[in-house]
Amino acid sequence: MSDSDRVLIIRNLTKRFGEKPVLKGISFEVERGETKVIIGPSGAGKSTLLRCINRLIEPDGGEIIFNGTNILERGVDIRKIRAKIGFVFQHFNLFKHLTALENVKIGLKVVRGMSDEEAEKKAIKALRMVHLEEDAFHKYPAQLSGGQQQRVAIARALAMEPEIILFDEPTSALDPQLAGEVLDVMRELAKKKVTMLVVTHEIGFALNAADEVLFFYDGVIWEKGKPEEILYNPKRKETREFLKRIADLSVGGP
Amino acid sequence: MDGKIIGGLLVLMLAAAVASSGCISGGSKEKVLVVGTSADFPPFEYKDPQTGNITGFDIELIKMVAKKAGYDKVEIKDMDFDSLIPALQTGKVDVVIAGMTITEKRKQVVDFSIPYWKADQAVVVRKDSSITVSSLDDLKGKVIGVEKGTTGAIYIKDNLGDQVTLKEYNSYVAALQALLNGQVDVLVIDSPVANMFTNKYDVKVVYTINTNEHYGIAVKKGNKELLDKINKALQDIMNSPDWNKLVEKYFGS
Amino acid sequence: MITSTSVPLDIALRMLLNGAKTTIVLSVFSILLGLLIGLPVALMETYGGKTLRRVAMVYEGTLRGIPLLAIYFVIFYSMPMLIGLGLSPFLAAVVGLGIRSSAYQSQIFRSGIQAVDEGQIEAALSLGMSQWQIIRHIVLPQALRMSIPAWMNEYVIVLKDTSIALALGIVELTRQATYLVSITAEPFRYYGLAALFYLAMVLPLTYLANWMGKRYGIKGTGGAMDVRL
Repeated sequence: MSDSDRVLIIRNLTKRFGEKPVLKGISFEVERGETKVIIGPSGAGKSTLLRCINRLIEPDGGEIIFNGTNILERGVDIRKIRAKIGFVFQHFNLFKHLTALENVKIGLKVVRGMSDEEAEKKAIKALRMVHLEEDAFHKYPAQLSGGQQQRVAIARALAMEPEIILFDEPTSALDPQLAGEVLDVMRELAKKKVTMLVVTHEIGFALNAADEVLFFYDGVIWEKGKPEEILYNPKRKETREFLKRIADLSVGGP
Repeated sequence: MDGKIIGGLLVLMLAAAVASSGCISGGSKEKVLVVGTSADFPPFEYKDPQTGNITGFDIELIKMVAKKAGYDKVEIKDMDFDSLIPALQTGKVDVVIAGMTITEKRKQVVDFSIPYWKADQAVVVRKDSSITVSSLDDLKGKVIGVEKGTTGAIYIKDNLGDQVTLKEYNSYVAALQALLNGQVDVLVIDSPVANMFTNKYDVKVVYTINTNEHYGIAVKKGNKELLDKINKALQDIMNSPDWNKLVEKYFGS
Repeated sequence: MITSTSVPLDIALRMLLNGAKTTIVLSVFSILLGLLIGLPVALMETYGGKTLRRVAMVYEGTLRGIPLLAIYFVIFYSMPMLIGLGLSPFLAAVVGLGIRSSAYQSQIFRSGIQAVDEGQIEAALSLGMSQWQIIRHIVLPQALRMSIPAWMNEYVIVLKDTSIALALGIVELTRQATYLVSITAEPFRYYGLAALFYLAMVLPLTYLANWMGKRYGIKGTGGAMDVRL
């Protein structure tokens, strides 16, 4: 497999906050077109991991090789890199003073320097991809439901045509019904071979859409494998215990 | 919304700043005497509502003095009384005429001309009051209103001390109100000011205290040249019929 | 000879109106100067390095701690002596009131800036925006709008404080009233009228503030834009 097929290579990533080590040597790869899902106990550092990838948080050690470049090296233009990495947040983080359409356009205009017309075209395309209702295009985030907001956030990431999109528990802040519409969109994207790295508790999504599932535990990737393997037949005790707890919490099936 | 409006206003501000901070005054070499005063003390200086000009006894006097001293024009700058001496010290004005009493304290920071007016303090009571005053002692035990910081206030404090109940007010207007409301029984204020009220309000002057105060024109300390000119002009004027005319105009007879 | 006469109402009103005009002009220039300095100081204090932040804090603290009259006197009297820069009374008044207002305005803007949640900043960074682009496109548009009520309050304060400029000889509304009072010895009437003029200048601002809140407020937040006078 050539390097260009691997969009993201993480090698031995470490990060500690004060005395507490959070990432103790994470290593994994994401191939182009892959949908990789990370599951694991809350507060263990999965968010930190994602934020290290686009350097919202600076890791302490290791390598992050994005499209062949180690982005932790000196002299790297991190803004250019970030523009190629999409990020969808748990709490949507839409720009409150902009309409849905403007939210999607702004990155294109300010970061990519597109004209208003160009940006509008691309933005509309992205909003259609997430099936946002037409009458919501000119609404402000405060006027949209959680599910709509998150879909706009996904469109905002998509419009930039990134190499990979990172999802940090995208549905955790949504009630099950609204979560459903967002997961549907994500499933579609996975089918379309958008490269995605998703941190989530949604086992159903992992089963349907993931190419590989990583179990994050105690600062490392504890176990990994195909969704059916990990989710139905985990090899390690901790994985099993975690899944059991998740299964108890979830209502109904995928 | 924001950017252009702010930008436009900034330009406006700069324009105003340039305009206000000194129009390059006309080329002709006029000798102008810049006079500081505080136009809230009729009849010495006040603003004439009809014309909007600052006028009064002091103002007309200083104009006469300026002319005699060889000036072409007088520029009147009105300000708060307390700002007058700083204005003189920093050169914002050349002279100050403002019903300003010559005191030792003030002489330490400015130089005064010869006195041009003798100011008495008037003792004022309500028209229906039975208080009579034939000497300072008659004030003992009374509730007296004065304007804070004036020579009247200082005089009463120095001479009667705690033998009277003294109430100080920020302006003579407030003191007048206090008299009318009965908060004080007696007012001690500058005679000219007292005379102003007696027509309009139910008060009367029952006694005049000769406090031996004099008003003077002030110049910056050490400005001997200007002071000499002013003194000479004052002497000429006070010995001429113009003086009597001026006094009559403002103080009747 | 002047006796305490009554001044005809139309003349008194004209004098007060002139004073009111001066008051308004003075206040508008001062608040704008305050804005031009206050906003950058707020930015310095939020985004600047250690030195910049310290400078901003000292600037704010000093100007908020000194009475306005003292500021005026330093500018009008001390400055010419110290650095040979003399200002006309009007300019000195604008500068004095303006820089004092800037200290309070920078606080107002800082609050507005800090009210923009961190999540939006993260999202903006993730798109690849630079610090400056984030300030310009994400933070300021929201911060300024959220600052509108507090800013209008500040304007009302500036308007009322213009009366202190009479110490410099500016003939604004209160000074005009004083002229009338000293001639007529009728403080209630003329200070009363002046008070009405002040009220007339201030009340429309409440409506303006509310209107601006509706027009420019961030939609859907429906926040009560409460201008307290």
